[in-house]
This record gives sequence, structure tokens and C-alpha cells, in this order.
Amino acid sequence: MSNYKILGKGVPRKDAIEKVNGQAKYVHDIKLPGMLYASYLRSPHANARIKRIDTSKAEALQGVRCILTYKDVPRVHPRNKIRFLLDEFVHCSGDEVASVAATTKEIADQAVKLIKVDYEVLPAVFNAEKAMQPDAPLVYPEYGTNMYHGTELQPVPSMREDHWLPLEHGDLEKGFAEADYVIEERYETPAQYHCSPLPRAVICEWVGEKLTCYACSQKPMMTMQDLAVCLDMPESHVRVVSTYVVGGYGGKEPEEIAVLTAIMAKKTGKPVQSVLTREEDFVASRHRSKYVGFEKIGVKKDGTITAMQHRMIHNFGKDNNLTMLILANSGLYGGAILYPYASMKFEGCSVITNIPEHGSMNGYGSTESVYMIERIVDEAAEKTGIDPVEFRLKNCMRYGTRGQTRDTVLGRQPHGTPQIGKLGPRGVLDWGVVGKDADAMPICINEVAEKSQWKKKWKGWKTPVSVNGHKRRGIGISLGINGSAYWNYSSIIKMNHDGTATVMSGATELGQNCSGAMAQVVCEVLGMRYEDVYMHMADTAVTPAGVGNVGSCGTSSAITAAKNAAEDIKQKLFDIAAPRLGVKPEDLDVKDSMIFVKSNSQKQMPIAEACAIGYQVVGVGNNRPYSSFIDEKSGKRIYDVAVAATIAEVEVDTETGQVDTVALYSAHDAGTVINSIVIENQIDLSMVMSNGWVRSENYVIDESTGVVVNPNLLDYKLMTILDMPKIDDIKKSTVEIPCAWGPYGAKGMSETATTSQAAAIANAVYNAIGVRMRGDVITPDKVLMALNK
Amino acid sequence: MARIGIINSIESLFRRHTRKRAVEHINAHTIEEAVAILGDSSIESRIIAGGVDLIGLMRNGLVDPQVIVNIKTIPGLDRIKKGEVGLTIGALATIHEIEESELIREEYPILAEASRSVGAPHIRNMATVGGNLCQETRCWYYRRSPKTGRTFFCTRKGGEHCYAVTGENAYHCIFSETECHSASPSDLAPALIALGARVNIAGILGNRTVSLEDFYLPDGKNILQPDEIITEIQIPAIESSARQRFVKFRTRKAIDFALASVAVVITTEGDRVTAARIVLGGVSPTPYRAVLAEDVLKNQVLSEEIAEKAAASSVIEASPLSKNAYKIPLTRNLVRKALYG
Repeated sequence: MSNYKILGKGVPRKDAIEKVNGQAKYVHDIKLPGMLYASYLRSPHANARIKRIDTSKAEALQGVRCILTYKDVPRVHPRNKIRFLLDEFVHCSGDEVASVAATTKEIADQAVKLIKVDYEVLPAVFNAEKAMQPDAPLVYPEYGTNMYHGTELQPVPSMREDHWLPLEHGDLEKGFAEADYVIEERYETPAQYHCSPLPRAVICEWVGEKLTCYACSQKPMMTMQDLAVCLDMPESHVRVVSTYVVGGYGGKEPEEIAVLTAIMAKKTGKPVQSVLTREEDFVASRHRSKYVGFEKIGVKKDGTITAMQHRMIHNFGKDNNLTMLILANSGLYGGAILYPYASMKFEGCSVITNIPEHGSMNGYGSTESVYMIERIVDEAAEKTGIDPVEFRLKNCMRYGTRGQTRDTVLGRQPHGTPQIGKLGPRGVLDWGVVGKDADAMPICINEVAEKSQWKKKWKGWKTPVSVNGHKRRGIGISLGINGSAYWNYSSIIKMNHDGTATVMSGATELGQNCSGAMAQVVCEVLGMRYEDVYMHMADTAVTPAGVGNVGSCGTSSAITAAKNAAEDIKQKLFDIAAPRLGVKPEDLDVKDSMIFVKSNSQKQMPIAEACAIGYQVVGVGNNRPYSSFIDEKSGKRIYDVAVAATIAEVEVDTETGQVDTVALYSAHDAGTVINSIVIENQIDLSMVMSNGWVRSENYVIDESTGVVVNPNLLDYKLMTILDMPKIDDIKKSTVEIPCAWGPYGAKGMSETATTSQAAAIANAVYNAIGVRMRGDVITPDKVLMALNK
Repeated sequence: MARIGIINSIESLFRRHTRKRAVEHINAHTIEEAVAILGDSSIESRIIAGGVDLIGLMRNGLVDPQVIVNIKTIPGLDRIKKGEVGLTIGALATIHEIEESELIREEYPILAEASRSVGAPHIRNMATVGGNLCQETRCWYYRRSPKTGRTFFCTRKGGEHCYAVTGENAYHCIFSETECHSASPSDLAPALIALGARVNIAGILGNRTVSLEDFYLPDGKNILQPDEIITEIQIPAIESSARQRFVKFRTRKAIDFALASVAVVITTEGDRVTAARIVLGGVSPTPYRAVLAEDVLKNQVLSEEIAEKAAASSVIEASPLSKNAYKIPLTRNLVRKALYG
């Protein structure tokens, strides 16, 4: 066992009590004196020009304080998107046309109904493959194409001239020539809504030229910078506070709503609150986008994968807040690293359509590509006749497999760092490696195989685990991978004179308990008590640079910075204590809030005393550059990934098409576990999310109007507790091989957990019924039709 | 005296509503009071009991009442009691009460089973049997909230198109005699029709009783006039040997409406089927009597083979839409299961 004092323990969350007793105030709860309430008029049409907009009746309504249309707002591109904040053109059904601020929400809603708009309805396109056709209507005619390739504000240097993003390795032709079997199939993945317990919300309040924005945002610094750019003001004058944020899953960010709310607050001189309804949140948020993939794999009789080709198309919707990272993830993690394919070629394109925009959602890009790749890998394994677990053990990535970071795939820099890795010709990278921690991959596979009793249950290809009348059981495996983003990040720790610490971090506490894990790491470094560390998170007026919580960077980046800050404090405390204890700083250590001399622990000084003497003890932590993590063996740079494996057991009712996930066995590469409860919770989340994604959730979009017809929690089939396996049939394990970059070798693993489940379920369904489900969501209707073909 | 009181309250309401648009909530204490307010054609009014359906309809702008008449305050309307023959259920009995009633569990298990399949516990605690029978379709085109920009003026609202026919219709009907292709959402209706239930209706002009089967119009709406409310459901006595089965299938296992449901009540003499009622939910705008399947069973000994034959007959007349052909094998399988499973 480790010598850690608090690391690895399931200590309770710091914010549990205030959240349970309702003292924690979310943006939805905050009511400021004189506050106005906003409502939004949304476009009924998927593509249209506003010919005339008449707000006079709405303005005349008592209680209305401000109405904004495209004529009233600056011509800016929030978050560097294609479209303007508000525009004469609307690009999806549900797009914002106007916003109203009034003294009550009811009046604002009423005013929205009184705004009269004449639209010139334009042809629209909703399906990505149709939108790629030469005769397809253009979503943004001035953009010249429906194939996204960046904008001036958001260039994508690696993008090919034909607007496909490439990534290659090895000789593909040779790879396919060497293969005994070549399989080529088309796969789809469904769109998904984050379904945060609270829809998006923001409050904006001005004092003079200074703006305070209470935002339900998981990226407060980006919200702050975006407000500064859009409103043409210094970043120092914008304060974004995201103290309590509810469930992000990648989608929590107010974006345009924040800018519009700030403008309304400025115009009225009053604080303004915008809270979206659930229906609005469905169409005005940035969902997980739908993918279509043309996958081709070459495999030898002995099971060696010789070549892998991916052509992935994803439905970009009307816009995005991701700027191609989704495609980079698809190509890089599943596409290039998951298996050290002797040769691989990825091409991905983002197709703009007239549906709501896509954005980040747990494991974005990777979840989708792994779902497709792990289905064709299963088909390849079947072709060779090799057991799917053995097939994966033979081929999977390990220590030394190629590695890179997603930003380099796009030819640009990761958050703030200088360019890392040389770019060769487009799509060919100067690869680094994945570190020793990647040896978790085969360990995860063996772990789930053992826990699930795979050897006993797997009866061979085309043989279900069991058949009982019309109920057929099947078992399937999938691997998972995603980045575990190591980025630039900063943290400040302020030592109080009583020896308590205030940790300032731009990370957000969205319920995942990043703050608690961060406190644990600070305690571990400084030998302090957990209750003596206070967390001040996500308040851009005081918390230093950090992207927030995306890309599983909370542990890998934010907590790393906090650890660095704690190390800085430790050094400063030792410098203060050493002369007073008559030793050198390096002779000291800390434990139980006491600084002591290593050779004589009776000689000691309380941390509180050192803080009081020092008076101004502040620690700063900044993350080292990527380039400093070098693999000893190869001399190459080490890159940040986390891996996982899942085995799913399903029962399919052939009379109804019902798929039940009856058991899930998953193993997760966590580097080092900081808080075991946090990890369990994150795995649970990923299981619910990916089960829903493959078995029941989906955006249902009307083909003639582009309307999302199920923007509510009845018609959008989020899973219930009855749809998940029983608790005893969910087995979770973690594999701990410390990584090079994270605090004590810990790494972000939550999104990877999401990537590893979907294909396990699909492959288990195949084992049960003998029909490959290559489409998107595996709902009863699709299973039934597949069985009745 | 009561009448004068009602008239006064209506007049004062009318005055208030010409000034300001706000929803007035009135607690009715007698059936007469409730129907008098509902019958006033100068005021758009709706009754509320559990409110499970009404609130959603109001929120989505489908109904916009000036007055909400609360009938929960009418005493005695929630009783479940044994009659001289059969059983009477007050319209205000909650789904939960039906589900838990010993009487119903013993004599009409089909009804307890159908009740258990409704929504989730908190919905069953709120929802009443009257509301369950009168609820509007869940068609997502019809129900669409204006909050997201676009609503659909469909045939059900007096428009020209049923948008489901050319659109997203996986949840819609496979049997329809009307332009509307919605699916009947009620779980209790098929069970009660299979039991041969009748409903007592009160209105300004008096009371009437109709069979539940005749209560529904082909488009799934019902025969209630604006002033009328359901007061009671009468269920005839049933032989203890009768086979009663309710089977419901849905995408998720709770908080979901039926993709298809089947209610079966079969009485036998010796081995032979003397009477069979097979009623389907979720496959037609209105609860669907599978008469052809019933005919197959008559005077037969129920066997797997006969069940299969009846199941096949139950969907003979189905004509699926573009995305719901799966409902044909699904319904057939559920009918077979209900008959012989």
C-alpha cells in the first residue's frame, strides 16, 4: 500500500452539506435587487432571412425594459463561431431571433409572443451526407461551402484543401495488401443531449464599466474572455463567477446568452437573469453530434491488424463551440492510438447543417469514433475466428505506442503552450509516445475478462451466452480511450495566519468533486488537515488562468497546478522555519500541520506559526510544458491519454426488441486514485450516459422542417434506474500506474470511461441475436426490424 | 341557494377577466357547481384533478383557460366501492389507489396491472382515473411547445396536415380511420374497455352513462361536452375464472407511454372461450378493439396455436407509417403473450 496520508481515500465532499441543505445558491437561485428576467424569441424556420421585425407591441407592454434584435447588437462572433451574435439570418429552428428583458419572466414571455417577424424562408438541409452534395443548400452562403474548415478567427492549419482533416501513419496500401481479410462497413452514432439537472443560466450585472456575470459555466475563463471580446472591453473588467455549477458533461456554458444578457443589463442599468427552459436547452445547447463513419480494416489470419482506414463525417449543425477538436479526437485517440495499427489513415469532415449546433460532450470525438471502431474491430476478430478478448489483447496499445496531442492534429497550439511536435506534410505527425501508464490497457482487458468470467460465458462466435425462449443473452467487449488533457493551468494558494489555506483555481466544481480532490492533493503536499484547506474556485476576478473543466483536464491539469502551488508554499514555509529551527530547508518535512526536522522530529514548528511569521505566504503553481515529459526509453515526448475496457452482458427479448444491459464490468486507468468515491461516481455517470446513448437517447429531427421533435424529458428517453443493471451486477475496477504528468501520477479518467461502454453493448447484442447493429441507437424498433428482416 | 352563489361567482370572474389575463382557480364543492362553471361558454375553463395532463397542455400553449375548476374538492368522488354487481370507481380515485386497492387486485387484476404501468410513483399519486381516460395524445407534433420556435397546426388542431405521416412517426399509430395518426396514450382505457366498463357523465342537463368504448371518438378525443365531466366508472362483475392480462411495452421501463399495450379479458365455459375482448393501446388514435382476433378465439380452446392465430389476426388491418412497421410484430407478440404466456 502507498504511504499517502489522504490520497486515495474516499473523503467526503467539501460542499456536501451546503448543497444538501439548499444553502448553495445556483445561478437559478440568485435574485439581485431590481433584477430583470429574460426570454428569447426563437426561429420557427430552419433557414430564413428576417425581412421585417416589429417589436413595437412588445415594447409597449408594461414591464418590458429592453428588446434586442440583430439591429441592436454588435456584429461579433461569440466564441469565434461562424455566425453573428444575432443576425438577419437564422440557421436552425430554435435559433435566437430576439431577446427581451422585463420585470417578470411572465411579462418577458408575453412580450416575446408580441414580436412580429416576417421571414423569407430559405431551403434548408439537415442531414450531413445530403449537405455534402454539390447541389445542397448552403447554410452560410457567404462561407461558400457546408464543409467546415475554420474561420479567420479560428483557423485550422492542418485542414486539407478539400476540407477534410487528415491524419496518417505508415503505408496504408501495403497494409491492406498484407491483410488476409479486409472488411469495410458503414456505421452511425446517435446525437445526445447532456441533460444537466439544470438548464443553462446566467445573470449579468454592471457597476460602472465593470461587468459581473454569474454563470452556470464549466469554462468560466472562456466565458470571461468571450464577453470581453464581444463587448470590446478589458478582461480585467469582466468577472465571471461560477461557484456552484450543476452537471456540465461538456455542455455547461452560456455563450451567446451571456453576451445578450450582458448587453440587456447594460442597456437597462439593471441586473438581468436568463434561465433557459428545458425545451430551449435542448435546441439552444450544443449536443453530442451524430457521426457517420466509413471504416475499413485489414487483418491477417493470425489476428494482426495491418491497416485501418477511417472516413468520418459528423453533423456539425449550424455551428459549434469546439472548433474541430471533436474531429481531432476522433482521428487521434480511437483512430490512431487505441491500436498501434501498422498503417492507418483518418479523414474527417464536419458538415454544417440547419440543425442545432454541436459541441463538447463527455469524450467528444473519441466516444463516437471508438463506438464505430470497436464495432468493426469486433467484426475483424470474428473473421479471424479469434476470441474478441484475445484479439484485443493481441492488438491493443501499450507503453511505447505512438502518442500526440489533439491540438497538434489541427496544426495549432494547445491552450497557451508553444507549438509542440513538428508538423510534417498535412496529416503526418511527428509522433511521440504514450507512457508506462498505457500498460494499463492490457491490464484493464484482463481485469474485465476475469471479473466477468468471460472464459466461462463466451461460447464462441455466433453463439449466445444463453437462450431462454425469446430471451437471448450475449456478451461483448470494447476498449476505450480519450485524452486526459494536460494543459497549461495556474493556481494560487494563499496561506492564512492561522495556518489554514485558501486555494484559488479556475477549475469549476460541477458536482464531480474536483475541488475536494484538489484539496486532498494540497493536504498531501503540505501535511495539512482536509478541513483546513478552503477552496475558492472559478471566480475570474481572483482565480488565475485555466480553461475550466473540459477534456478531463481537472485532475491532469488543474490539480497539477494546485500541487505545484502547494510545493511552492512548502518551500516558502521551509525557508521561514529553517533558520528558526537551526537547520537547512532541505532538512525539513511536514506532517499533521507541523514542520519538523527530518532527523529530529522533536524540533518542530506549527505551519500556523510559519504562516504568521511569514505574513505574506502565497504560493503560485504553473504547469510545466509538455516538452519536459520525456520517455527514458525512446527519448520521445510522452502524451496524455487514459484508457479503459468494458465487458457488457445484455439480454435481448426477440419478441419486443428490448435490450437490457444486465451486467457491466469495467476497468479504468486512473494513474493514481486521489478519491475513490469520486472515481466510482464518474464511472457510474459514464455508464448511465453511454447506456442511454446507445440504447434509447437520440435527437429526433423532423426531416422536412429540421425541428427537434423530442426536446423534453418524456420524448427524449433518458434512462431510468430500472433500465440500468442492478448495483451488484456493476463491477468497477481501477488500474493504477502513475502517469508522467498528473499530480502523484493521477489522471483524468471520466471521459475515457464514457468511450468504453457503447460498443461493448452493441457487440453483446450481436452475440445475443447474430445481427450486427451498425446504425446509431439500438432501440427496440430497430432490433425488432433487424430480427424480422 | 347554491345556484345563486355559482352565478355570482361566475359574474365576478367574468368582470375580473375582462380586465386582466390571469388564471383563476376555483374549488368546486359539488358536481352541479363544477358543471355550471364549465358550461358557461363565455369563459374558457378547464377542470383540474391531478393536473398531470392539464399543466403540460397549458405549459405548451395547447389550452389557455381563464378558469381552472378544481374538482378534487368535491367530496366522495374518489371512492372505490363494490356495487350490487361489479365495481364503481370514482373519477377522482388516483392511479395509485387503484393499483393498491385489495378489491381491484383480487377481482380485476388487469386494472391493477395497467395502473402499475403508468408513469412513475409520483405521477400515480397525482393522476386520477378520470384524467387518465381523458388525457390528450402525446403526439410530439401536436404537443410541441412554442418555446423552441415552431409549433404545428395539425389536423387535430383543425389544420390540414398530419405531420406525423411525412415526419417522425415511430411512436404513432398503425391503425387509423382519421386524418390524425396519433396514438392513444391511456393504459387504463384498454383494460377498462376489455372489462366492459361504462362511464357516468354529469352535465348541466343531467347525467348519462355510456360504455367506455363509445366514449372515445375515432380520433381519440371523447364525447364530453364542454360542461360535462366523468364522475364514475362502472365495471361489471366478472367471473373469477376469466383470464385477465395487461401487457405494455415501452422504450424505457418507467415514465413512458406504451409503444403498444394489450388488454385481454377472456371468459370460458369448460375449455371453450365464450367471450373475448382484446383491446390495444398505443397503436391507434383511440383504444383499438381487435375484433378479428376476438373472433378467432370464440368457441375455441385456448392453445398456443390459437393464440398465435388470434395474434396474427389482431394486426391484419394494420397499415404502418414510414417508421413504425415494428409495431406490427411487436403488437402481435404482445397479443400472443397476453393470450397465452
